[in-house]
Amino acid sequence: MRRTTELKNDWQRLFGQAGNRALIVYWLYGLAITAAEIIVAYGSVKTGIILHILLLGALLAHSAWVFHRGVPWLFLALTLAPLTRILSLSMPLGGIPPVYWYVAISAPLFAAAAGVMRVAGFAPGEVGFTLRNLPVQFLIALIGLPLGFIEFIILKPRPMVTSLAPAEIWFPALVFIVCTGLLEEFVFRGVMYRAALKAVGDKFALVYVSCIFAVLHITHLSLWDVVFVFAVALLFTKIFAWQKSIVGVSLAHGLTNITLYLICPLIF
Amino acid sequence: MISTVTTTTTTTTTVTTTAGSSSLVSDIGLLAVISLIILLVIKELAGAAVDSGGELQGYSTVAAVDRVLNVGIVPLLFVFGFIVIQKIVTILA
Repeated sequence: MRRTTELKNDWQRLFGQAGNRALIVYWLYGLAITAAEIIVAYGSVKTGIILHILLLGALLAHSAWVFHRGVPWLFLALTLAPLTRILSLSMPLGGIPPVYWYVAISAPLFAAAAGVMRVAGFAPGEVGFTLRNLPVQFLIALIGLPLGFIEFIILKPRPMVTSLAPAEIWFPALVFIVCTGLLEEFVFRGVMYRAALKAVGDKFALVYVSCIFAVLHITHLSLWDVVFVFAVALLFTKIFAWQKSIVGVSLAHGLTNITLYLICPLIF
Repeated sequence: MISTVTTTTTTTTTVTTTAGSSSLVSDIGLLAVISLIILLVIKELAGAAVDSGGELQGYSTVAAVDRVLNVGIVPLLFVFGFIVIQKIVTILA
């Protein structure tokens, strides 16, 4: 009897209050997001977007359906995954310099993540908006340099700037830190991981949110990059869980992209 | 490591693709706007149902629908606004 209680406690520690059925539903949504991303990347963009729109509707309906039972967080937070792709592909960005694409797409995503945060009732501190342990956060940020170099070896992107002169590089660098680093850490570590933690427990949340983050990189058309991003997501989520702050991981994420898209393509 | 901005490669791929057939971006934009309209209609109906009272107290499903739909509506409004501004700029240019 005692052993059964211990097992039950272990299960609840790992997976929160969610039952087996809830876990299967979360994985099914994860698979559907993966399928939609594969279709966008390798099949028809339009079909993939239609699937993302249907997923958005299903997740909104599901979160409303379970709202009165007090477990809408992860369904609500998962809406950010299809929204990411819908927003990034539906905006007419042709004719605009690439660096401004990030600004244009990050604004509605910030709004969506803030909306999830408000509906789910997360306080700013709960999603990592805190300035504690700043020296440690700056040390964490340095992880971004080697990560950016490794991802450069995998992706070999074209340079986004023509020189590393401060006058040319400061604005794209700022955009990468705010519109990719801060935004994606806010969405995935701050809101989605927090929601998963509340719904399904720490171990599942760590793996699940890292998987979602990784599959949203399928459109890079590189399996190695998806694997790499999954490993990085595990690392960033662990750091976030340890530090309870998104400052360090946001800077590290931004620095990864600066190294990947601005520095390495011009040096190597 | 960018998932948001269509992941740079895809953004490039998409925009390159749509440079040849600009209808793709228009079609996807249209899908987004249709989704926005549907969400706004559902929100309006849910809001009206909540206002009319009845069995709706606290977080009943309809009240919850009214609440969670903002998560989808607000970012899609940005898209709509962006498309409108882009069209105006194109016409003026």
